[in-house]
Amino acid sequence: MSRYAAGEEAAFEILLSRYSRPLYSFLCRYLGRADRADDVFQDVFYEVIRARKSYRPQSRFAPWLFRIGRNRAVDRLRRNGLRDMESLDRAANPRQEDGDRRVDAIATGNPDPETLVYGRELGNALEEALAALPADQREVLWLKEKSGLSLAEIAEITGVSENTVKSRLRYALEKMRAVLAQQGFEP
Amino acid sequence: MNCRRAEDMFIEYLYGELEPDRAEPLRAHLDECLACRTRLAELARVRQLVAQVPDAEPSPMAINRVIARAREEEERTRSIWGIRWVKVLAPLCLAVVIGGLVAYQFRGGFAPKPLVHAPAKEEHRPVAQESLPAPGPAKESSPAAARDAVKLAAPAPSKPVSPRAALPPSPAAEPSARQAAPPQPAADSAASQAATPEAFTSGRGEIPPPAARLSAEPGEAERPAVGAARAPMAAAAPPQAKAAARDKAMTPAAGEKLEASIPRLLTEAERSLEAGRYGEASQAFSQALKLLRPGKSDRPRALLGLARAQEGQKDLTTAIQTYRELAQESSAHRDLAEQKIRELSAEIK
Repeated sequence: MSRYAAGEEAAFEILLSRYSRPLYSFLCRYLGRADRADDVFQDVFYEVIRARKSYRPQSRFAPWLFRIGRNRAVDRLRRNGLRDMESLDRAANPRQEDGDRRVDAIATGNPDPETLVYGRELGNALEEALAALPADQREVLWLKEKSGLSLAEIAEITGVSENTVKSRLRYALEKMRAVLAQQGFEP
Repeated sequence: MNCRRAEDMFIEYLYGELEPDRAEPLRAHLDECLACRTRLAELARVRQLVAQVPDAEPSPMAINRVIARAREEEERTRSIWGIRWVKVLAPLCLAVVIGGLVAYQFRGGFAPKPLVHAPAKEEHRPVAQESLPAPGPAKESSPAAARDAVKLAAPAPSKPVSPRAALPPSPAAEPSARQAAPPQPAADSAASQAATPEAFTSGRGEIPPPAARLSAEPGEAERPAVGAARAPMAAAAPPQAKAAARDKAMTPAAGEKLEASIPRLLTEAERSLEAGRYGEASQAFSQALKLLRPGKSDRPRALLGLARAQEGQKDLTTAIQTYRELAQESSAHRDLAEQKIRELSAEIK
């Protein structure tokens, strides 16, 4: 971002290439719908473009980007009157998991070899385990696993203490372990 | 260290965020405690599995829009410091020059002109008309030529003046008149021909080799597609006329006008693509690519659209080529393009 802020135009595409997937993936999980995630994703990068001249590299780019992303996602849900954890949690019930299935369809619509290796059954079990998590635990787990943010950075983004982040993460992993074990995938 | 304190450190340890001085006692505890060791191993395994859940990808349209916005912003920034000032200053300079010429004329700069012309015209006009077949058009052609002619006549106002010297619009002025004249559409027939849809797309939406597309000048595509009909004329046109026409076509104003038309063209192409009119979409994207030099903001967008249109037309080989071009030109689209190349190659097999 510093290079982009300094006027190196090609640096923007590098940023986009590096962060588009983890950010979009997080937004999909957070918003539960691909179309909304697409909108917010664009908004976030528009904000990056706008902030180019005023950007001061006081902290890392990734936490800044994800903070914008999370704030925009929260706004979006509020605006639509959909700040319902239910939309994120409903996949806990396999009969109501349309939202997350849509997200999965995006994720697995064009499976690469790696995805194929990871296997459909295990994939379904993992999705179910993820869907079974409370939204705040899932959010923290996804940010940690997919964005490369530190615990302190996640705490800053989500507005909770670092200890809370750690305990959410631990509960998330333990719950996933339990759900996977129920599905026959003993970790 | 007891098991409870050890568990409190599991997350930091798993994610490599535990400071070495705190990690050491935990390791010592894990060496002794099978239960904690097993638990930590299970959590680590869950972590590994979660990491395998694939990331969702934003739609290509979303990526394109973001890239397009970034480029727009760059162009806007540039125009503030560059082109915008040129736009302001260029007419000002022109106005100053014209004002200066007018003032010069009013102060008597061109005063000898009527003194020379009046008698000469009256006395020798018939002769001049006979010997000079077409003075009319050249009269307006070049003020410089007219001034030169006046200067030639000025030293001898009292003497009878030779009609050839007195009349400024001589055939000698013609070359400059030809250069100053608007470019003939036929003069750049090859370029015009290349700009017609038929020239770079077939019914199946075929595109020429990338090199041919990359070499296209932005000014070429805007001109009407009359090149084919006028090609013989263009072949006969003198090289100066061709150069003048080409220079005229490539003025910054023309380039800007063309660039301004690109977003509309791309939007229409994307609409066609979404509506499943792949032939139309392919043509429109190809046209847009003709206007977009490598490095231009909308090029990846156009390439991606073209590739998708070619996919829609089941022209998979060409689509693969276009995706290759996209992968080379845009790092933001590289993953997507390479993945599509793999998929299409598998489909062809």
